[in-house]
Amino acid sequence: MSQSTTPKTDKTDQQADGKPPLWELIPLAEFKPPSSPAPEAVRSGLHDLWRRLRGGETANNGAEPDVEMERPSQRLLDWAAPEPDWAATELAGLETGLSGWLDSEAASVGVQTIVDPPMGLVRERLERWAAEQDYFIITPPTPEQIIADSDEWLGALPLDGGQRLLLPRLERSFLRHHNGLDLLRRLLDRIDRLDPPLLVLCQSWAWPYLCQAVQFDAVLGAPRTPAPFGDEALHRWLGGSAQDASPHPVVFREASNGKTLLEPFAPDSSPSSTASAYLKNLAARSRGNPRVAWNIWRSALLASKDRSVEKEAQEEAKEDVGYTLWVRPWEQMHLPDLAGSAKSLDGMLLYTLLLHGGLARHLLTDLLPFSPGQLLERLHRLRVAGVVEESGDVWGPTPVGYPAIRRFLEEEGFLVDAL
Amino acid sequence: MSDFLDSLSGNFDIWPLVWILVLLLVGWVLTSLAQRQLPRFADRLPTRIRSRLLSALPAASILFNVLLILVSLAILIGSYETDSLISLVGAAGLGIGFALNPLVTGIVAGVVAVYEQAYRTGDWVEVGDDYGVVKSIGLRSFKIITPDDTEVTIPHSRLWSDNIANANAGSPDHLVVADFYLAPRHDAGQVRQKLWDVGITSPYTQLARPVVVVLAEKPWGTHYRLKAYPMDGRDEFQFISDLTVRGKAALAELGAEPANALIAAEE
Repeated sequence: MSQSTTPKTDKTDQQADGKPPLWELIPLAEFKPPSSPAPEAVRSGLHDLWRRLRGGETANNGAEPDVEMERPSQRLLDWAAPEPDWAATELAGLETGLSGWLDSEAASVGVQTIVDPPMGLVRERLERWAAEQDYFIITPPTPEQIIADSDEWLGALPLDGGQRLLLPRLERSFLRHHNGLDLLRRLLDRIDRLDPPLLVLCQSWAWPYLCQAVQFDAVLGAPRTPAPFGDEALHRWLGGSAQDASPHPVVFREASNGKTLLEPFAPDSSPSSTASAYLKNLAARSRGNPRVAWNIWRSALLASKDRSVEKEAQEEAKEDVGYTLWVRPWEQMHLPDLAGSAKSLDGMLLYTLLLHGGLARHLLTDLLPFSPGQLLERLHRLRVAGVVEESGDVWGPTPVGYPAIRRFLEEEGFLVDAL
Repeated sequence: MSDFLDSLSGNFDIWPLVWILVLLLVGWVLTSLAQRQLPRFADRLPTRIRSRLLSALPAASILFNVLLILVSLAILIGSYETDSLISLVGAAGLGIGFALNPLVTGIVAGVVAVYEQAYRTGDWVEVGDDYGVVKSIGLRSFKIITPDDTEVTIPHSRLWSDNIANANAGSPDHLVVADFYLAPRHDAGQVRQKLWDVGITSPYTQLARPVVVVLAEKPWGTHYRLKAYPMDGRDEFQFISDLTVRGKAALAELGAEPANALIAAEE
């Protein structure tokens, strides 16, 4: 069981270091993911081509485990990279981003939409916050209610009462089925007529689909989204989490060369002086999604160093105060990769999972042209590849596998999200 | 001709001809290998890149062969006296004229087809009664795979005599149409919306391209045409089947009756 911490991103920090809040809302149209450093882009492109030539096989397949690089204990891991409590994420930046909507007293303040990055970044926090503010939190309809030609769910919504509402999972309010869009159309019609004070949260993959299929953007307007975490933001966030959670200092060093990572910012340091190629790669790979970045970061932490670490760095590490954790070199990260191994029909399955923010297997059978056996075979193959997982009875993408899925779907021509 | 035979019996150097034959043989082997192996490799590439690679393959293949022919001509010109060369070319021309005329016609048509981009690997084409996806393009002919998974070899020379219908012309996007025939009594607006939903919710649909439903009134009822693009042109028939299955289910739920088959057939 991992410890949970609230990321250190409060207003006090903002004033102290003069840096903007991490959890900031920006217009969706302004979202720009962190770019990959040129050497990594070239290396990644060549690796991708090589995998395709080999039909999806990698040189690592069947390799002996690297006994020299051991995983740290669970306790140390929870100190160094504690699992964030996403429901307690500081909302300072989010409240600023929504200030025009939140501050308005008028009942006809209208609809504000937030596009949530994959795997949900602000949903849990917004739900908790909305409950504290006495918002009416709309429970998404069941799949049966979506498919049935009935107004049971819609009729129960207090859209004309003037109460502030939160619809937290728009992606669970429709199905990619010929009867799966009608309910949302009727909801849209009522929103258009009644103009309720409604905050809508929609996952990033559902948003472009709904704009195309139901023209949601025409009624819901321009959405906002959390700003991406670049290398500097990751530095502040991951470093701050370790400082807050660990009773002892933790020093992070790159396992290949012994260089330190996540050192506290010096007061006069500029972002460029503290930038590390590792964090730039991490930010680019995760496309600025802190949930993806945190999972990759945690999987990269090692208890012991690589043989190749120079003696000087080893000696230096011996003098570290507290615990020393080694970070697997970026080039040696074994992250899931679909290049050359996934088929175009796998794309349908992965796209459907992202579109609905995860789905139960029996629903996938209804939505996709696969027999139950074919579906099971694909799901298990993709699970072995590390890109999907089953939580309860719901299948969804893994955080570390998500970048590979997105890249694959983009290359195959699917309608990808903007994040 | 007699001069040529005389030169053969004299000091005629046979090696340049041998080299040319070896060159052409190597060219043929390399082209065949490329035709077989590159599409397999292309299957591992993303759809967009695969389409471009396959489109470029025939032109590259023809260019390569033309280059070999030019090199062969250079060897001929550099190796023989003018008289011998005229005799040799004359003899070859006679042979081509009588025996290899269809082959040469096919090759010339192939060059024209590649130049005009009448069809490229991966295109969906209809030539006469044959319809299918172009699998490979050779010097003399090209091969298509029909919906029944039958390989049909079509000589390029059909270019001279037949219309060639190309559904996607090098683009990975390929419009497909699913037809529905309904009896006259139904709500056309509702049916049209439902069929559009069938198109936009099919997992095969390329969402970046439009989904369109058009209809035409006939004496026996209404003919609906659901038009959409598949994610992958190779899935055309699965896509049409998916649209048809979901469309029929959706129309049955609406209570729309199919058209009378006998009356429609008479049309």
